[in-house]
Amino acid sequence: MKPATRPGMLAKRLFLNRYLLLMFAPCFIFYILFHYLPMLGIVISFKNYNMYKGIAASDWVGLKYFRLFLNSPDFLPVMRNTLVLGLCKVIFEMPLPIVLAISLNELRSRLFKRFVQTVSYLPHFISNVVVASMVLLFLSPSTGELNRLLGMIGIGPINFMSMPEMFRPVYIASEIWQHTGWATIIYLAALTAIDPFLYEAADIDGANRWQKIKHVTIPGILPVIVIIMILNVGNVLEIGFEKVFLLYNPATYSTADIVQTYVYRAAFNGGNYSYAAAIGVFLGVISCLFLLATNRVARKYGGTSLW
Amino acid sequence: MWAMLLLAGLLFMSACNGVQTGNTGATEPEPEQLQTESADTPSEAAEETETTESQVVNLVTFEYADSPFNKEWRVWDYIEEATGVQVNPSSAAANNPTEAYNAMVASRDLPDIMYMNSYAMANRYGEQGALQNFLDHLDRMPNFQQWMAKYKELSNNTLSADGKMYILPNEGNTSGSFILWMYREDIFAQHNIAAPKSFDDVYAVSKQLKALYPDSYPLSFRYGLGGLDSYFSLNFNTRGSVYYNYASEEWRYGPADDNYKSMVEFFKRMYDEKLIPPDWLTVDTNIWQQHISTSQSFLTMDYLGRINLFNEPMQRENPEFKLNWLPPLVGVDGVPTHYINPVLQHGYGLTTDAENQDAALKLLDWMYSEEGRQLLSWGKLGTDYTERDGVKKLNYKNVPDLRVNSGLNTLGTYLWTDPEAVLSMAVEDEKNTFLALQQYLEKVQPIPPLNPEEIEFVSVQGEAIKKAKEENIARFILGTRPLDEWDQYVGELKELGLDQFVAIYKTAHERATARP
Repeated sequence: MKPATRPGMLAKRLFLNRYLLLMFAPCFIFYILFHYLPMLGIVISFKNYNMYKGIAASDWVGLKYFRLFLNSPDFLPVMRNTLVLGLCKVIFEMPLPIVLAISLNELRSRLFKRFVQTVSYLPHFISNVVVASMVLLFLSPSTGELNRLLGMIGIGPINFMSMPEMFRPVYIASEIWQHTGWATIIYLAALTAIDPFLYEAADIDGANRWQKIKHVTIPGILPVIVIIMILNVGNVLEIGFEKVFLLYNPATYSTADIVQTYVYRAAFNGGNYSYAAAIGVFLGVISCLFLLATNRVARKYGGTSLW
Repeated sequence: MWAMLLLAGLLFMSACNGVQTGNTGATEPEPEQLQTESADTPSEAAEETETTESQVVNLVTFEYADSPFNKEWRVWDYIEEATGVQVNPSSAAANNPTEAYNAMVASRDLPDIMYMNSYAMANRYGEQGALQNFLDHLDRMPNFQQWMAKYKELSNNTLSADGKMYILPNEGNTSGSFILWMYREDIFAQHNIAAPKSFDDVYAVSKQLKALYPDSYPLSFRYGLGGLDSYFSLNFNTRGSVYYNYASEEWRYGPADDNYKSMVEFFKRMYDEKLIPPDWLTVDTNIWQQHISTSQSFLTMDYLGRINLFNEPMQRENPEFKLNWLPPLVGVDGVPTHYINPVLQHGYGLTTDAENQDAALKLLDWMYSEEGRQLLSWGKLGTDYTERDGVKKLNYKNVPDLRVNSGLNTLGTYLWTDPEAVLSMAVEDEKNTFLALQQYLEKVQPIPPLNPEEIEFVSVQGEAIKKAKEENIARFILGTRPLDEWDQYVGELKELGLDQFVAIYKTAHERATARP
């Protein structure tokens, strides 16, 4: 069929779908105004932003702030920490929601299933500040529950929050607790989309529970898993500032100081917005590269990809 | 179809709402820019009859949580009556106005005068062109000129790297910021323990107390490493960062000093023997308050005002409870040390776009007159204070009471204060403490202003040095790095540019003092 490229056709198609477009319009405007237009602000990373004179009148300095960041002695440790923490997040936070979703799917009691679902995704709504407080209280060497339990089996109080090697496990554990339930929702939705006839066919072929999971369920949600993995890898560097900032302290800087907390201390506290913007642009470019690479790999080996 | 449009509209509005609630912070709406075309607005009852017309001065300040900004406060009326200038005050933020002020400067939505809380902030805005240099307007500020001659050093501290004054100096209101040693006098008396006079004493006393109360951590303090720097370092004759040593007349970096090492050794010993809480790094205000009020700790170092804040409520339950202060401990070299003499970096700046400059300058200048000082410290006879036999006394119970009910002593209403006013509300004990303290205060540290290149070095290299220092000091005290590696650690700091870092302050200081 010839593509509808004649001039009148576009206008006609727009008119035919006018209600859909109207519904889409607010979302479109929102994204243009708050996500795409602000990207023009990237220009301040190439300027010495003078708040009073404004963006247009500030002087150009080229790659000065990028070089400043790359040459700073904190660059390597901070980038390493960000990458490692991000990768740990992706690796450790991916399997659990899938396992939970598949397990929930196997449950027969709908009431119990609903109950577990609700309880597991409630922590997602607790603010990071509250979660950080809870973690600190729970792990406190003088008054915390965990140390009390460890004390009962004879292990001395461990000062978790002052040990750099414990920072990543504690952070990842609190993230898993907080967000697993929420991520399960997407997989549960994908699970309902698997054709029940496939299960029946597997039954006829004599498959048991595990074999059904391995050969029907997992391949069924594999596209969703791959897409979410691509998105997560693209977000490897976008670790939330809040929780790390609240859980870290000088004793754990060696593993806990990430780009976002570094920017807070070095740039925001001094009002050096150009420096902060340069670091942000740098991170954005790297995230983009990650996204492209993962998409390519997924397309080649998994068959599914974002584009 | 209308349903579709309605749905789309609702979705759009809820999206907009979602964006707004993303903004954190208790920011007040920005001050309205009153465009006074003519200056013929009728004046309030003016005591000076020089100007019968009053012009409106737009004033922006910020507020503390214990005294939220109130446009109806008496203090604004006092200012208007005394100067003949109509004031339109508003508050931009709670506690830290940096973000709100940044937004105001960037959007060019500035008032006539704004009250800032750091000299670095004022110099930054001034250098970018948002504030004016007060030294250009001295001809219209006679009271201030006289004041400057009397308080030369305080005035010089506000100058920028190139000698401009973007923020006005203040004096007289630092009594709330004294930090000193405190101890549970009642517990010490109960067990016949003498108050400590040196750090060895503190160690010995803590061991005694730990033996008597095994679950306690005799010494507690807040803010972790920051606490070490802000509270204790002075007692070891050093500081947490770059400082000027008056004795040897040189700029030094505290954390590389041998004295600092002594402090680290002291705290390591206390930590190893469980005389300070094991989570000392993360003790915040709430946890620290718990330690003191539940008698889990008996020694601490904090602000003078805290003594009363503990004693008053605790004595209702336990009349014996008594927190009292101690003079500074004898330092490591056997020489008595000092307490910090706090510098309040608050003051007004005059914006470049200010419309009513004459009125604004008049108002600010009046604050440096004796009359202004008295009115803004004491308020009015009868309403705010009483006078008996020549002794004045404020009618309020304490500072929060004074602030909330009259607006006196709130941010933005003082530049030159009479410390006797706040002192008149204190109980005898506190008054005596304040007076006795004066002899222990150190000489004010110079604050040399840095130029933009220096600031850049400090924010990148300085940040790296600070991070390395914090990490290593924490490790030394916790024991994860052996103290014999101290010299190695100093070497690491030097590799990060420590010498250059200190030299910057030396140059800046020489530059500032070389000016006439």
